Order: sequence, then structure tokens, then C-alpha cells
Amino acid sequence: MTADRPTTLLAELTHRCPLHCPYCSNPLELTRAAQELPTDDWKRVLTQARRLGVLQLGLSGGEPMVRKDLEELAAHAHAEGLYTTLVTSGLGFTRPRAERLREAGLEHVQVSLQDADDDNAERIAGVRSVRQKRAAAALATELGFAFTVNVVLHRANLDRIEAIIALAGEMGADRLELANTQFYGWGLVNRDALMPTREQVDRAFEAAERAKQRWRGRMQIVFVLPDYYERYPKPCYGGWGKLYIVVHPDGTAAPCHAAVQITDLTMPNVKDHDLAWIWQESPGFNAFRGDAWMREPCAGCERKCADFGGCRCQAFALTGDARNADPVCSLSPAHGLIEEALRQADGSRPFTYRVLAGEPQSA
Amino acid sequence: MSPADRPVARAVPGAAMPGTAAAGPDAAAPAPAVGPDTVPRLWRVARVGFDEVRQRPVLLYPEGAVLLNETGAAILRLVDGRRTVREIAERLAGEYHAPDDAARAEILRDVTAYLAGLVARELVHDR
Repeated sequence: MTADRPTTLLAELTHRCPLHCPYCSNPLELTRAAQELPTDDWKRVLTQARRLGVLQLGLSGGEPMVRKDLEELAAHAHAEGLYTTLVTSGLGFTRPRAERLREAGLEHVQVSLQDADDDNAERIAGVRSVRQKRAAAALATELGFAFTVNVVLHRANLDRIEAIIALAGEMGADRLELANTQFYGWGLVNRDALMPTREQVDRAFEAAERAKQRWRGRMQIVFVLPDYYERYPKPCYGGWGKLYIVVHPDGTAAPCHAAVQITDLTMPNVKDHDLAWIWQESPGFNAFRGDAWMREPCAGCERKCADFGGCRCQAFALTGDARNADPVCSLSPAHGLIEEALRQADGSRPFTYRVLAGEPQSA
Repeated sequence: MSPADRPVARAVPGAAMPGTAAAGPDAAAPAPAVGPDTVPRLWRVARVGFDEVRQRPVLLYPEGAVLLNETGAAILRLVDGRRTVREIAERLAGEYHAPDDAARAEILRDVTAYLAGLVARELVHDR
């Protein structure tokens, strides 16, 4: 099957991170520093990505600022013509490094916030971080980066959405991403603690809609709905292997973050293969292209070209088979799993914080 | 590939998340009207570039890209935060040697509709 050209590469440079957020999108099995790809391998991947058609690069992690070669990678990406985003917690985004990144051609900085309430923000992050995040946000605007604030929403911060929007506005954000938690990996482990109520989601959605009008032309606001409350599933990044490539710290390439969690699929590694082969030929990237893999109710569904059966990773995580319909879909025979999860979640469970074995703990 | 402009990397809202259902700027609430006297300006953090791989001009912005056709790129090159929609259309009518008033009116309609689409997506601002 012919692959479209990819547009976006997310380079997860490291899993090391000073934060311990319980919804982290990294896999439960985190990669140690010694297994991270070296600088030259990353540069090769960036060059191959641009040749393949990638326009947008995310330098992410973990916390990408822990990589000492970040400036070198940003400069290489810029020379290749990539539009580059730094996805950071803000910790380590110090003035000298921020200035060097600006000189290197980095265009866009995304800083995560956990909450508008400082104490709760640090409880969620599992570490003292608010002061450094505010300093990072101020630097990002002062140095003229395009600046996004990203907030993962869940039961413990949704009720402060107005204050969160106001804070992002005060910080001078060009964009605000309000993304409800998705339940993979660490998020799935913490599902009972993070799952919002329907009332919280509805109120937040309305607040975000009002804010979009109020901030139009000054701050673009994106609100990502929580799929457990949706009638139909989300269209996995426009379809499996359609636009998006994630490269993990050890060089494993996949069509999204969570795909490495589908344990009966083998994902290729950039140490062994050119990115063009990975994109066009690898069994992993071809596994769910098109619709030949679909079962009922997806195979005969008129929505199959709109949402592609939903998320393969969620189907695998919840039903044990990635070919099944995403159980978030109200037409899925396994949709009861979602209803049950919503009934059970009451927020009474404590967070299981994301921890990289052997890393120093502070909270 | 379609000759029309098409979004290639939509807002990947929640870039740190696996696949997302977005109620982003595209799905957004009613956009303000764009008319001949509107002074459009490009979003501060968006820029027009050229994709050597696809051999197409492209509008790049945080978390997204829109492949442009030649007409779209020509319009955006004239969006400078000072010209009105009418002035942009008149410039293009000159460049394309529009033969008569009907042709010029059609260009004005096309430019207005094109910019209204980008305003709705918050890639171009109308104030």
C-alpha cells in the first residue's frame, strides 16, 4: 500500500525527566540514559525525515533539556529546513541555553503547566517546579519564540480551567493546548485518579469555547476532548502511518507514542533502517494502513474513513487485540469496558508517579 | 495530490498525546466576517516557506503546516498587515491581467473567501 508523505516527526530524545506526572505519555518501560541514541544518529534521522517530507519536528522526551546536544540538534534541524518545536517542562530552559537555542534556529517552545494553583501543580508534577516554569515562560516570550502553553487536563485540575486560561494569557502564550488526559501507559495506570466527571468536562468545554472567542487573534486555544466521553473514537493522527512518526530514545520508530505498547507488533529501529524504509516498507508502519485489517463493526461501518476504527493502541490496551474496534466507540462490542471505567473512577486512588528506575527521587 | 490547499499536519492538538479528537480552531465557533475593507495580517508565529520535497509553497506554524497552491501563496505574499483585502485583490488582478470588471470582481470574491478560510482557522487575523 502506498504511503503518504509524513509531515511530523516527534523525536523523544530521552526519557529522563525531573517531573513525575502521573499521565506521562512515555511507556511504562522507560529507557535509561545509556541506551539513548547518540547525537550523530539523531542528526541522520532528522536529515532522513526532511527528505521524506517531514515539515514539523518536535524535540521532546522526557525532558529534552537534559540532552547536552540539544542546541546542536536544533541547529541541524534548522539547517535541514524543519520547523522545530521544543516540548519542555521548562526545567533546564535557562537563559544561556534558551539564547543558544534561539540562535540555532529553534522557532517554537511549548512549556507544560500542571495547574494554575501552585501547590496542586507541584503535587501533580511530583516536584517543585512552578518557579522554574514561570521563568521559562518569561524567557520564551522575551526571546521571541512562538510560545505554547500545554496543560493536560484531568479530574484534579479541570475545575480551575478559567484560571489556567488566564494564566496562559498572562504569560503571553500564542497558543494554549488544553488536552484532556488520554489513558495509555502511565495514564492508564492512573485512570481512576485522573478520570474527570461528565460535569467537569462539560463545564470545561464551555469555558474553553467562551475563551476562544475572548482570546481570538491573541491566543489560539485548542481543546482536546476526552475520548471516554465521546460517542465515536478519535481518528488516530489521521490514520495509522499517515502523517506522524515518533522515534523513541533508543531509536525505536513508531506511528504514535503508544504503538510500542502493542506487544505483538515489532517496531523498526532507526539504528537498523533508513527512515524511508521504516515509513514505506516496515511491517510495523504498514500493520494498520488502509482498512483490510478491520473487523466488524468497523469493516462495514460508514465512519471507517472518518475515524479509521479509532485508536489501535487503545483497542490493544483494553481488549488485548489491536484489530478490534476502539472500545471508546459506542458501536464496539467492548464499549462496556469504557462505561465500567467511568462508573468506577471516583478519584479516590492516589497517583502512581512516573519514575525512571534508579533516578534520584524528589517530591 | 490535490491541487487545492490542504492541511497536512493539523494542529496535532496535544502533541504529547497519542491521536486526538480535537475541537481546535478548525472546529471553532463562528469566525468574524471578512470583507473588502478588512486588513488581514498573518498570525505572528506563522510563515510561508517552500517545501523542496513536495515542490510546493507551505504555510508553517506551531504544530501545523498547510500546503499552498500558487494562488494561495501569491495572496499570502501580499498580506502585510497594511493592505486591505480589496487592495490585495487589485494587485493580483493587475498581476494576472484581469481583462474586465467581472474578472476583477471574481478575483475579489476568491481572495475574500480564501482569507476568510484562514481567518476561521486563526492562521490569519483580521485585526
